[in-house]
Amino acid sequence: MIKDYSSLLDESMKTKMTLRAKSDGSFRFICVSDFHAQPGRLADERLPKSIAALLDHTSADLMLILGDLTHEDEGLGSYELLDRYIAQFSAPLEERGIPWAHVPGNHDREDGIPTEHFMKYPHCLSRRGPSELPGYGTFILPVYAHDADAESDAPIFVIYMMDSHTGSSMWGLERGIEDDIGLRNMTTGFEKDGGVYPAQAAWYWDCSRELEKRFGHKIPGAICMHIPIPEVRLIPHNQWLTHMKGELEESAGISGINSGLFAAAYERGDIKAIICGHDHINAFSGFYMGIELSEDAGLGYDVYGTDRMRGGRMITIRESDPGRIISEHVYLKDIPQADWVNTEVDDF
Amino acid sequence: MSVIEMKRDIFCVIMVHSLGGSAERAAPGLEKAVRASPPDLVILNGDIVCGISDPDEFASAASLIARAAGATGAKFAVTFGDRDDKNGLTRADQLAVYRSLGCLTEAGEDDIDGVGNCVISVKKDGKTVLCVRLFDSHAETTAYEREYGSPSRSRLPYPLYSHYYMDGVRFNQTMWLRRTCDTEIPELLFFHIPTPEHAQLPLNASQVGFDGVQCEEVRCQTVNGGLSMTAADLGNVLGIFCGNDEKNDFFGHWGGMTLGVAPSFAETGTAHLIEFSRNDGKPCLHVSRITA
Repeated sequence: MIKDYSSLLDESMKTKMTLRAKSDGSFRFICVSDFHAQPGRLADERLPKSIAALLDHTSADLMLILGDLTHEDEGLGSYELLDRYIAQFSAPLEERGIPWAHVPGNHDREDGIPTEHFMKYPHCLSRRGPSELPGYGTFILPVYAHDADAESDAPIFVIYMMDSHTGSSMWGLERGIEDDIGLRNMTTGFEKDGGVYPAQAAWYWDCSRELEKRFGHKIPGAICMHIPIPEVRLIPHNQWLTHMKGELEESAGISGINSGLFAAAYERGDIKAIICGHDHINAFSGFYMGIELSEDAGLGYDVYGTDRMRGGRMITIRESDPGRIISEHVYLKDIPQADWVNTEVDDF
Repeated sequence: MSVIEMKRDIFCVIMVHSLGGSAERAAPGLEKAVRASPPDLVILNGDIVCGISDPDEFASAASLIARAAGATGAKFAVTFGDRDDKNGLTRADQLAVYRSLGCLTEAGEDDIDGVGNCVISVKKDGKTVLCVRLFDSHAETTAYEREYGSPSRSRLPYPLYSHYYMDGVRFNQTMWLRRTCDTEIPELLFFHIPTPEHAQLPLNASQVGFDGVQCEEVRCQTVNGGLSMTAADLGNVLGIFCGNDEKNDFFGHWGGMTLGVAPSFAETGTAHLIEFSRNDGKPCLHVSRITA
């Protein structure tokens, strides 16, 4: 067992391309999720068109795909088809030269969507992350000022990408414990989803402290993952007190385990937003103890979803004050280019 | 690090908490429970001597409790609970009084939150066979909000785990456990305010083999500090034992561990008895109740 993960910071931050603010000092990233491509076929053609529309509308500098790229354990059934699928949805990104990265979701399996199949795309920054960490997609994307020297200067913002695993029962199965550890809480609901493991919360804590030690100040950041941490449920249950924006058409699906990631982020004081996917017909955000917790709606057309909510969460940072982020859900229905949008019909 | 010798094949811990406002009333009951067992270690798990502002009065009340705990020659240790803040003495000053009476609790590292985060090493034939780890679980969330600068309250009308506003073992203390534990040696954790996982046991009764009674809402930590999940993940923690509640009295199995919430000793005269032994070389825990 690793006692201190700070030695993994450099490996966690290694990207093949330096992410920089634009010359006007702004940097924008957009999070989308839940494509749910089905075995045996490519994704619906509206998926790449939606990605293109979101990129053009927001002029984003980075797109993050927060899990559930595929629906079934076997992925698409063959790696040949998987490669065609990745080429299909990443075409708008690669054509525009916009960097992108993903984390796995609870529907994705490592042998269904191996990370190497993504990494061969020139603008894909996805990584498996340090092998010492559980899962296969926990790493850091550092963002630098437009004129910074990425070798020596501090990043203005860091994005912690985390694998949130599959179901709560998997934790026990991996350790030879038969009992499921997923626990129902006072808000009730289905609480058998996986979540960030304690080693990943510890990794965030140690990396965040090491960044502060190295650069003399806390580096503001965001945490992006698939399955929402339990605290996300507090937002729709306490809409006024958390200043909730957006809407829900299903109960917020949350992790059945709690590794204390929220408490870690609160005590460190550097995380401005925790952005999750998982639910398809929820798009909301709200504040709990100074941290914005949000869920984006599913973008995929091969699973249930709705054009009333399809879109992504857009975060804008300015290098003059990177601790103050601007966060909003961008709706596809508000983009004129997306002329296929039909908010009258549900896809489920 | 404090050390206790394991003299028998079994190591027996008695845990009580919330001894009420009067040490004179609590001490005879505690002595009775101790004599009935008798234990190797008595843990006074928070809210020990409450509501006394005069240092001399505090010291005499503490010595009554200490004498009762040590009636059969057992060592004792304390953790601090939310009501221990309501004395005229700081936690550090209270700890100095308890230590002068033979208490094993140490102040703990400066750079983690709280007073009395420490480990008691249980040795047999010179080898550590068990660690008893104590945490300060603080008092109410207002301090947690103030110390880390929350712009809003952590207590919400529709909470995840509890309508109360309890602080608890914080994430930086969870990291202290991860940093300092030896995963080869079994551990027992003790502190006053239950974790959210303790509070979820009655809501998942059949899944956790719920044993006991829930008479009121569990007054657990508001913001989950990740301690229970981390302890389960480390794999060497056998049990996590808390108090704070007045009438709740239960155990449950979760994540390969036993979680327990004991009722107030002043209200019920009930102590939790936690017995550690090895069966075929495997660490083994037996939990039960003693009523004075």
